[in-house]
Amino acid sequence: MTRKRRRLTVVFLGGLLLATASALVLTAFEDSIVFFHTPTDIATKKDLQSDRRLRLGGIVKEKSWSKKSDGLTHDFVVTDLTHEIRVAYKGIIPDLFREGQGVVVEGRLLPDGNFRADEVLAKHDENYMPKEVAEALKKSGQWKGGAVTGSETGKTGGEKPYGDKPYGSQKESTR
Amino acid sequence: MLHRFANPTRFLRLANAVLPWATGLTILLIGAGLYFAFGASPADYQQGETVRIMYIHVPSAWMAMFAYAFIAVASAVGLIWKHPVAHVCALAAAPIGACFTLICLTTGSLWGKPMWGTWWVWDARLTSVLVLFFLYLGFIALANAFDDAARGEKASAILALIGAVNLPIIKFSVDWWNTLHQPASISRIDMPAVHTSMLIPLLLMAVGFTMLFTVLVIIRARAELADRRINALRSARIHAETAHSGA
Amino acid sequence: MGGHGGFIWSSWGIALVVLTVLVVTSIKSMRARERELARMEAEAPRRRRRRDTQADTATASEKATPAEGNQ
Repeated sequence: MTRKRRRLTVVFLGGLLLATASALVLTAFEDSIVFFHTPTDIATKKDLQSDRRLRLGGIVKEKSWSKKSDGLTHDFVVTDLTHEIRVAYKGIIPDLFREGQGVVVEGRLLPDGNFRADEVLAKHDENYMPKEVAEALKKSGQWKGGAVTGSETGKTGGEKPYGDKPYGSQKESTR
Repeated sequence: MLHRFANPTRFLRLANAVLPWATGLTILLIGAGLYFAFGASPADYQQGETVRIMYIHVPSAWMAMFAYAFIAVASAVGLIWKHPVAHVCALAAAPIGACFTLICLTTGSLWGKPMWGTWWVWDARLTSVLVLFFLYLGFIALANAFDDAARGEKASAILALIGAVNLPIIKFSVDWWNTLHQPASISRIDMPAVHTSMLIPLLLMAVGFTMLFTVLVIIRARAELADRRINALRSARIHAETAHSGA
Repeated sequence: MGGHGGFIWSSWGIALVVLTVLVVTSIKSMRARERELARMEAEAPRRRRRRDTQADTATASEKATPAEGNQ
């Protein structure tokens, strides 16, 4: 074995070892790497059902958003199309906050199963297009995005409402 | 094939032949990209005019990752085959990649505030890109940390290879974990999630930045090669003088 | 710019500043070093040519086979 060959082997094996180690570490810490939990996560995982701070993410359910007259007190439902959680929030919401769009809220789960948020972040999808195109798509019924038209598209569409998968079924997606 | 460019003289000849073409293309492509980014592309249906940050943010992010991949490959070639030009190229590319990463992070922050409602979150995508930035800084620092240039080369090359594990993490972070950052828009050729009118400035800027990267790598590699020759000449001269006085 | 002009322009402004600084410093340092090298080579052309092959392995002359040269 030449020295060149040996160095090649060392680099290759080192890389393999490193990749395996990183994969193991990332899998082990998966729960702390996720930025938010879906309503399904919260419904199924017992350790999330406490009063510690956590982030909840999903889609703002259509026609669930109500705003008090002070313009600051908001009430809406976050859904991942399987489970849903009602959220109360007082404060300013970001521009991109819409019904049918993604959202991540931070706060605490109340004993009654509702969520009290003190921070609301809008999550936008990866679709970019001019307004006219969006409207034309909606008119012709080819709309695939989760926004505006309705959240039910997420379940059935198969073709990217939020990425290649709807919220809450991220783990099942094959990739 | 690779061995042909490992020779500094031959590398310089090729680089100097490429340089004017790459410079011309850089100016042309970025100029056209700017025209489309600000003049000839529409506002987004959700984000409005703010989508114009995408044309600087996304190409910078691609370049940040491309430059690191370039450094990792060059480092591997340098470590395994000991090609003298490989590490010169890696060293030349590092500050360029660091600058693109910095642009990616700051424009991302300026985009996040109006759209998401926050300057920064510690989600997997944002954090892994910040790690990339520190890897660049670490690489540059380590390469210059040793008196013996060969040891600095070796140490920084090893760091570059170890850090390469971060690249797939950045790329797939939005698929593997829940993140605030949205998934990739242009992962498939058959159906990109970006409308053609917005894809044009995006791709023009991306190719323009690749050309800019080429130009800058050549310029910085020339500087580095000249620097090495200067040092070699100096030490040769000191050597000759001491030998002379000793005789 | 839809009320977010400040964010858009500062994004592009920062990118412009960072890239301009990078391009200018890169060109300046290349010019300075190549000028210095030319000066040194002009200063002692005879000595340089003689020392070239033995002292300067980093920029080996064209005849050397680079891959095997440093084994």
